[in-house]
Amino acid sequence: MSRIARVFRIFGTVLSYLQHGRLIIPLLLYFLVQLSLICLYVWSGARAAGLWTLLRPGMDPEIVTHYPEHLFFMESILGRFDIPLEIFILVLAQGATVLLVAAAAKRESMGVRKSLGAAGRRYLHLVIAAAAASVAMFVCFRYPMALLDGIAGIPRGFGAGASALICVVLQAFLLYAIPFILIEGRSAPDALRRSFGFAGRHFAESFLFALVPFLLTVPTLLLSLNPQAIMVQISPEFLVHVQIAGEAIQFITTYLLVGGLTIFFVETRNTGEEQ
Amino acid sequence: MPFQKMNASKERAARRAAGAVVIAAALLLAACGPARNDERYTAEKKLFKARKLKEDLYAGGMRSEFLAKAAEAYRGIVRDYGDSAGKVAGIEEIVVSAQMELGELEYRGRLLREARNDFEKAVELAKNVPAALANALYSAGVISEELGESAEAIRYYTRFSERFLAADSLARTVSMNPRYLVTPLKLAELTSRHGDRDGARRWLKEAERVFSFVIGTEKDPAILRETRYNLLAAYLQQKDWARGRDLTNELKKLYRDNPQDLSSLLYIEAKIYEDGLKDESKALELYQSVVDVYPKSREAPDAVITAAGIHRNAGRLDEAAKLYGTIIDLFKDRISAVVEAQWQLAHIEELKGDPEAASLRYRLIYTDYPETLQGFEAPLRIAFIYRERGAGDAAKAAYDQALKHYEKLISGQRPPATKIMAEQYIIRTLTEDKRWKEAAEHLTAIPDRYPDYSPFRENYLRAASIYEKELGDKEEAIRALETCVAKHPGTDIAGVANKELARLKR
Repeated sequence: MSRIARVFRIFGTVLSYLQHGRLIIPLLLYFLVQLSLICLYVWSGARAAGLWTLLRPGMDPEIVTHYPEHLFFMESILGRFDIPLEIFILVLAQGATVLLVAAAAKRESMGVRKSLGAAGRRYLHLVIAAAAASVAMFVCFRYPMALLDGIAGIPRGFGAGASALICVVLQAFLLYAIPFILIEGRSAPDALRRSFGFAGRHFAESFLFALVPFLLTVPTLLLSLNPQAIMVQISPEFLVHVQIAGEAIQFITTYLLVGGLTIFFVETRNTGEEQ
Repeated sequence: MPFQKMNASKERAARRAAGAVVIAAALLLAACGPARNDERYTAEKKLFKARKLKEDLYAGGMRSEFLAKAAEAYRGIVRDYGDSAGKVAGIEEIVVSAQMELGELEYRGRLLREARNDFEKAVELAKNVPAALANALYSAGVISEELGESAEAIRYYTRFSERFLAADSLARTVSMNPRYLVTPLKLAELTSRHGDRDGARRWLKEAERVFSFVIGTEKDPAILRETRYNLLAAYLQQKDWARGRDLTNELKKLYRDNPQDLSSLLYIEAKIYEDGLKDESKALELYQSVVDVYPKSREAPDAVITAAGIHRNAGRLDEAAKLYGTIIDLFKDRISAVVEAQWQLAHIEELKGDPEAASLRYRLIYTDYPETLQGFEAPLRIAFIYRERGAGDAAKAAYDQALKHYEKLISGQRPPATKIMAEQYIIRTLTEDKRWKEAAEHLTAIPDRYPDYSPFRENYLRAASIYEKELGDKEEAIRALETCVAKHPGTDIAGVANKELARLKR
């Protein structure tokens, strides 16, 4: 079976696991956290303007109390919560999902509480791996984009496209840190090192695991890049819908990504392909 | 699958999933629901929606039904939040903005009377918002001028001047909008037109004071430049030719590196010699310099036209014709100058007693430049020539030809402005030819063809006047006025029509 076909077969398997409702519960809980944040932002308004702009130094809280600025700045303000949430909360949901999918792949049974407990016991390693991955992704996205966009003659947006591609490649190398921590009991630095090695040996599959979910997020990503046009041509309220749609897509793609890479990891390690 | 047939763990999972879905749905509903129950925030939201309607209206070509919708959105804000202005922080600015934008919207829709009324209301609302108050007063003045109601314009401009051009508020007024500074000049012109020479003189002195203050205090080069030119205009309006000439020379030195300024100043200097110092030869010499030194300048064709006008007025028709011919040869790309030159050449041919040649040239004007003012005038001028010579049949044929020409303009692929202009000329042709019934019928027919062009609403009044005074048909006059009231209820024009109806029915 070709490598590409194998990846899509695994995605199919991940989707078929949806019949076990519990597999999506950890990520669904994280989605609910994100949804709660959006609701809080939309509803809290002027009273919490100072709080919301805490993560955006230099921004006058007064701006957020006005319409439509309140909704216009929502994506950029809530975006500041992404990295801390990913490092401290999402990683736990991802870890629990890895354990639940791995159990399902081995035809074993595992409860959500148990998976969360097991991920919680390795929380420090998960946080370290997630922090390292986030920093690496941030650096890889920001600096090539700034560099390429600063060169005359290079089309606008080329920098962002190239940076996104670099990030997808880097993500492919970091994908397996959580399975190594939770399934094989490695420390965070060892898991990151091994993830690089594993992805290097199975680059095509790893790259596809990172690329397909990324491509699924592109439409909402593009929408969120131009809030001004949405606000003027559709309505400022539509920005709330875009934000929710973005989180929903993120939820689905994270499940696909984590589920897919876990099945691939389990299959590869258990069938002796690695030897 | 029913719950009882599931095993215990699946049942638990299903219940949890169902619970999660319910929570997610509740959160989704909450996120998509109303944002905040805050009065200012809600008012801002309504203002944003009204502005969106306005933008859609501008993008969609000002269709009257969308205009009414956008206007109602603005009126709704003023109605709903007017009482909260001054009580809730930020509401006053929103209400004032809505009222101002309503006026601007109506102005763009050419609903001039409604626009002025709304700016008048804005004046009341904007007592504590100086920038809006200034804009409202000034806009009401401009609209009054456009309506041809100079007494009203004088009233608004005077209020503006007293409030915003006093010594202690001038600096702030400049920062609001430098255009406001020309108010005393406008007032001088309006009062002069009203025959109030002392008033005009007083306002020109006031203009001098304002401009001198700004020149002495302002740092912005663009504002300074504009103000210096305004001061020059004030001197010229006062017929203070000596000071005008001195300032022109001073400005030539100040802006010696800018050819555009230099050509304008040379042209103004020539005008001073022509109109003020009555030195024709010096004026002609300077007009010639404009053409020789700055042949590509904006003023060059105007300089030749003005110089030709001097010769024509002095009876030197051949020299004038020679210069007009020069314009046609040298400034082919300056349509307005070329058409004016053609028109003047036709007029010279009339003066020389050659109406056939003049008619041919007028025909050339309306054929080659049908969308210019001269192009619209030319067919009627031909009819005028024949009428003046007592050639009734030829004049009648010329009027028919004129009607055909204007109808052709309407039926062709022309911009709406051209078609509207052609409609107005049809009415003029019919009235000049004393075809009163046709004129009245045409007047009442065209408002429906141009529903977005509000000045045609007044046609019903004109038609009623023709029915009453020229045709002696009171019934038809009443019918025209009733149509006006029925089609435009609640508008100012309906109010005027109602008054006329009351008079006719007495």
